[in-house]
Amino acid sequence: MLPVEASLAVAAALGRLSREQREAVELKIYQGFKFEEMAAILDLPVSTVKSRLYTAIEILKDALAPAGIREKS
Amino acid sequence: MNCTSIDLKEYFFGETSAGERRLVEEHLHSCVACRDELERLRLTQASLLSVREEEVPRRIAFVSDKVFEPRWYQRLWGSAPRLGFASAALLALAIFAHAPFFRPAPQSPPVTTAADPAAMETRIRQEVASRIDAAVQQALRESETRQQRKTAELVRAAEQRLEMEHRAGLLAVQENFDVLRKRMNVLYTASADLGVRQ
Repeated sequence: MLPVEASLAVAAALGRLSREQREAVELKIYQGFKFEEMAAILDLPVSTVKSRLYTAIEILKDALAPAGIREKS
Repeated sequence: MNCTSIDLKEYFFGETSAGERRLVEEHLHSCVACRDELERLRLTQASLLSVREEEVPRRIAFVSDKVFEPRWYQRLWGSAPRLGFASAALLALAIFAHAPFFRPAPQSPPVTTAADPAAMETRIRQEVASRIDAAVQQALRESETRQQRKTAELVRAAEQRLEMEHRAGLLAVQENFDVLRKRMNVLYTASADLGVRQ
């Protein structure tokens, strides 16, 4: 994939998330916080944070790395 | 250990304890499905990290920036009543500026009382000037009423826009406050972390 295509795909995938899910992805993937730290930041139980992140990552995975496609470089 | 009992995502995010880690890795050696799943997770993360997310929706607000507002001459050009008013004003100005040069001085008729054609010409000139003045006044009045109507419409539109902007502003304030609160929590967490390390 070209950089532009990749960025469009990522933008589209992130667009399918809710605000809360994007927040979780931001804190975990981009900021690298631990589950407990995320829970402290968002004032939420760890279980809620985990479930938001897991749902989000499932959606992103289906969009960016669909099953059956091996894109290993 | 089987596929359902391991939390592959927790392992992927590096939040699994050392003991469980070993168990997960053992399972991964024997399970192709879970290896594939882990690969997909890594691919997803790599895609996400290849592009840094920016807050796209906020850019929409910039459309209302000054840059996009029409210049005064664009507004003038785009509005027929205004253009009419401006040209009427210019015409009136030209006529008034012109008058002292071409209208004979009032003292001249007594000097040339004998010359009838000259007096006649003066009267004609005065008549023409007064008719032009009347026409200009009429045009001015018309364009002024049109202008007033247009202004009233503009004011109403501006009020509506202000109201909408006000609402959008309130929403933005609320959102910013939320973001600030979360940032504060980030700092709080980071400082607590520092405290533990010391």
